[in-house]
Amino acid sequence: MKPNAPLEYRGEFQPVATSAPGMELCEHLPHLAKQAHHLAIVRSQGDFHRGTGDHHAGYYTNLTGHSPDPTFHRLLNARTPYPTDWPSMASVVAMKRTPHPSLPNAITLPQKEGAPEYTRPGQFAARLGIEYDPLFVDGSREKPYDFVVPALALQGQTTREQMASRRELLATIDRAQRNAEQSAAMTDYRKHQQKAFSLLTSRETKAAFDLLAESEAVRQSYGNSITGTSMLMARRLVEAGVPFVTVFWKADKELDTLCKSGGGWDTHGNNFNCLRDRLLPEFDKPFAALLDDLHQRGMLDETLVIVSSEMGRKPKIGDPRSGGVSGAGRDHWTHSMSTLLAGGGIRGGQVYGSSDKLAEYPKDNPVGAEHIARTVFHSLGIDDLSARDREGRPFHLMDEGRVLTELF
Amino acid sequence: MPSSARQHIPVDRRTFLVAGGLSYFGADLAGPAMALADSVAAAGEAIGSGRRKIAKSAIMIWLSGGPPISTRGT
Repeated sequence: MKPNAPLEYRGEFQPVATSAPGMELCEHLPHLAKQAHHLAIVRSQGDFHRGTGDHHAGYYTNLTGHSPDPTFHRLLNARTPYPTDWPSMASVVAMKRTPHPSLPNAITLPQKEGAPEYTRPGQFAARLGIEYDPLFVDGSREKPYDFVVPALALQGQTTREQMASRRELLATIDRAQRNAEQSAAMTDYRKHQQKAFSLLTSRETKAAFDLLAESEAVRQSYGNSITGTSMLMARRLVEAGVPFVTVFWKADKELDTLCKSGGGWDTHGNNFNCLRDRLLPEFDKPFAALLDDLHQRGMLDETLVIVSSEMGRKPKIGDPRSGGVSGAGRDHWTHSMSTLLAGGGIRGGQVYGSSDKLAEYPKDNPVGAEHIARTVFHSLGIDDLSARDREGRPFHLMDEGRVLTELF
Repeated sequence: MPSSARQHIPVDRRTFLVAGGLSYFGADLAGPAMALADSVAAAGEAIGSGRRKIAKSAIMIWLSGGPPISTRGT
């Protein structure tokens, strides 16, 4: 918010005081305002003209900590995920951590990002190999308590015993293909397959995914939206020992029409009404509940919480796609955005960096996605950034940026 | 990115020589050499921050589309 900026920039929302002295938040985040003492807000992040100004590059940059390569500039949102891409932070953590005995090391919910023809790059293990891809779990707005793993769902009346039998069959086929298994891709696939079977048939898995095991009071604190149940699921999964859980915003078809936003935060039109009535409330309550829940359980110090996105919004109000100023939209803006951090050793109640007077560009302590990625790795104790690709060749996960030690 | 955003990691002479030697003797040793440099950098960071807590897990909430969440002021 820039409440002192000219009218064509500042918008209609007012700032309010929070539980963190000196930190103000938007008036439409009342629940989060009470948890602000847990937050560190980095408000000087930008892409420094390395991106394309569009979504694909933003996803890739902020999920991996790496700049988009020239193919993003050439293909824009038609750029598909490549096996040579840099891995997501989630996959790096999955690779660096000891394998969980019954669950994947990285889980993403309530969907894989992007329609099949526009799958967002940056959310995969890529050059690390599919063994470190997140497990993608699907959820829906219509049935927010029903999560399914599309690739693993038991069909019809299939039992665990029948599934084990199928596993034996596949093992036989695998033995017949022993020569082919020498390739890195087959090795990756076999490991992934074994993990998938283990996951599907494990009682621990079923328990971890059972939201109804939570008390009614806890469930109500998060609310019944898919955003709420996804955040509650994330807490259950980290409680069960999963090292990295990603919750992507689930698109709301109504908002696609109301805000020309594709169902999310891409508010090309009707920005203020959509934020006030829909987007901010749906985020505010469950996210505040997540912070409070982690804190009450003594888990916040050992759980790093990050809120990010692929870009910010254009400070100047008006977007040609919704008729200019009268449409009250905000266009894409990758030059300046905020990232929220909490827990994981991060000192709460602080603001890091600043943007210029119109929020157009970072001013003090400018940071890029690489700084955020290094800070995430550091919080998780991952200081050795060496890795090997699918062919066993060594490479370094990140040369740019630095850990934002000031946040700890 | 701004040139000032790239941190110059202070590496002592011995570490530099060890890492250089490992690199000289083969590309396959580049990983351990880089790991060593990372460890040195991390140790410096840990000292700089006074104490070090290691998080067990991370939860990333992704507000798809690009949100305007920020705070008042600068």
